[in-house]
Amino acid sequence: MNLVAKLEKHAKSEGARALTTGEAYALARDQGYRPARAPEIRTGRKVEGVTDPANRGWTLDVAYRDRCRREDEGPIPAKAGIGLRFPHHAAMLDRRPNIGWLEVHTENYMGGGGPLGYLEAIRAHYPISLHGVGLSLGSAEGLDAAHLERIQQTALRIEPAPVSEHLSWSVVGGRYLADLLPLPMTEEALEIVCRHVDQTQAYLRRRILVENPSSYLRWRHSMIPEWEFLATVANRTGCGILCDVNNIYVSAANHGWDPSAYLAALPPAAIGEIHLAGHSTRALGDGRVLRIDDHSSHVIPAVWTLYAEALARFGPVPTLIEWDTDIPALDVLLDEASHAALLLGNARQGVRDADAA
Amino acid sequence: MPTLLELQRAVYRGLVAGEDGPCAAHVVADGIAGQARLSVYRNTFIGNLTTALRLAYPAIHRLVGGPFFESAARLFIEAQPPQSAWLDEYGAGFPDSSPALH
Repeated sequence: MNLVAKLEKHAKSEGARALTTGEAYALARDQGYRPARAPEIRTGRKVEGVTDPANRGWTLDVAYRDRCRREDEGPIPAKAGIGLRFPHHAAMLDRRPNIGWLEVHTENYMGGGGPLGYLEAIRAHYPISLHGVGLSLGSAEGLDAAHLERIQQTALRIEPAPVSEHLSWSVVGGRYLADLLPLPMTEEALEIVCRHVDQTQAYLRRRILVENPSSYLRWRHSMIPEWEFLATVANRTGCGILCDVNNIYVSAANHGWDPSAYLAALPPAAIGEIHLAGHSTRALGDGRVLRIDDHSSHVIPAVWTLYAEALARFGPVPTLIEWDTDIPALDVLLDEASHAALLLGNARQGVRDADAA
Repeated sequence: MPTLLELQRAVYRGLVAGEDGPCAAHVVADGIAGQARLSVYRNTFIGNLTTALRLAYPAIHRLVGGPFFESAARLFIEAQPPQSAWLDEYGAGFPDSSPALH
């Protein structure tokens, strides 16, 4: 076994993303290497099988922490962030607004070129989360290995904090159906999703977050409540949950569920991120209405209320404002995020009060 | 009870070919017909890919106008749904798909 393989094995046992010797790191610094995140220095580590005394004093690159709930812990702070879309690339660099973090759709940066150039420049100033819409964790035919590799390559370039995907499917017969389609809540689907989350986490060598979908239909043969399905995926695979509070509200309204019961069924320790967005309503004759999760407007008051309830259950969690249709001026998004920040502040105070009591 | 793969193939036929009967049979109607519920997904499927084509071919979009572009896009999407979720190269054959586009 060569030195690299030994280091690789040791990095795993340290829970680090990568590691190198103190000497090599100092040399790289001298030659101009500037990591996006400062590495954590751990000295005096013994690496199994390495006896060269010159190689004592290891320097480990920062370990990826799977959850970051406090501001001083890990790369995504428990602050409000916004979904970064192409129209705001230039403004983010010009203005550098005060915002905790940013999230992008992974697929938009897989092609390199201008978008990735912008993102790499922005990455120097903000923590970034990669949110995928196309991996299709629920495809019966298996994951698209080429797509997983593209996610991996994008993650290597951006060094994101969370990488997330959806509890849904989009691909069948090698064709991509460009939407987050609902899964039947069956044992078969549960096994398939868990297998794909396992494969994804093993391939990317990191824990991922899986987001609850919004949906407009239920399948007749569904047997497991969605909240139980999602909690089981997290429990079996060790993945985290991206709790989209607007999606819970939309699906609960469309299917007659109790949104509070949905929140209560999710394991608080697994919640790694919250999403908030606006949605619209569509009348479908005879007075029936479907709520449509189109990310086209402000978060509605009832969703803010549900968000406060989620924070009371989960504690302060990094929270993202998403807006994808009729994207407004950057200031509108920042205003929306500042409201989330206010509620996060209240939640933080609540934790302090509870600790003091 | 359909297997997951059978269900996904039925949804494919519903979204891409508009044959939503077999798929709608698996949907809980609950006051809104299965077809109407499926149409929300079909609209998003067509809408997202039309947007991808519009971004890839802004000049054609300006030239032929919105309504014509959208109907040409719909025909193309139904004939050739993307083979991957990475859409950067989707639509390479779009300009040749309709004589009016080139």
